Amino acid sequence: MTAPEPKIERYGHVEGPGRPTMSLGVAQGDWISICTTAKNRPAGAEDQTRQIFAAFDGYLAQAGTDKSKLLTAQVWLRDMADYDAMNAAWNDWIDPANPPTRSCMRADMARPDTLVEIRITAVR
Amino acid sequence: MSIERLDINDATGAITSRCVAYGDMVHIGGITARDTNGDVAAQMRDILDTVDGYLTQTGATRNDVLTVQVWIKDMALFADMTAVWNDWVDPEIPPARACVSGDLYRPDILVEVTVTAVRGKAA
Repeated sequence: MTAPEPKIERYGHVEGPGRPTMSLGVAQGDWISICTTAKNRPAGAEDQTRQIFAAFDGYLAQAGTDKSKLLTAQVWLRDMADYDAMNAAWNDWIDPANPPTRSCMRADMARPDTLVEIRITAVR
Repeated sequence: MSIERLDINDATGAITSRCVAYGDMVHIGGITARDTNGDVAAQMRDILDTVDGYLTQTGATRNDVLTVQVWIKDMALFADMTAVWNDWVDPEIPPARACVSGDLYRPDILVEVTVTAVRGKAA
């Protein structure tokens, strides 16, 4: 008998008028990917980045892992002038002994007050 | 399974690894030229040399590369960057590649590359 395929776990269901229907995180086997933006968008880039990390901590915990198991990160910034502010939050949050790879690009966002969007992959 | 992390530093202003390997997957990310005085072709050659180094260190080769994401500062640089790329890949088994343009984190950086590879699978 063949073992059943592992199920895909989904975290942070999003839907609503004008919004994409999507999961913020998905996990399969020992692998998880999470991508999100800040909920409180009047905040500055550093605060938005901290909100994103708080969300990541929650979903990583739900998936049975934590930030020490990050593999990769992709950061999009609305304005590269926010690079240092985003990095301040990054360097506070990241496990300095276990950082992921990271790339950071400037990009327009779906909402004008979204300053940062980040995707991570991790294992558990 | 343990996670291998190479070149942990904060040279970009953020604490990152340049290469993270787990199981048979190798992630090489945020690679920019070590010397950014050169043109886009020189920067791309520098980057692919760095990528070769991480592939070797993790037990992979350029023939094990699955995907490459290239960001260039200006799409006018596409042809010169791609000429270097075409010299680097094995034309029989090229990776999947995407290229978009956008501002990178420093104005002298013309190109940045992120790579995924799987080690131990190439023929």
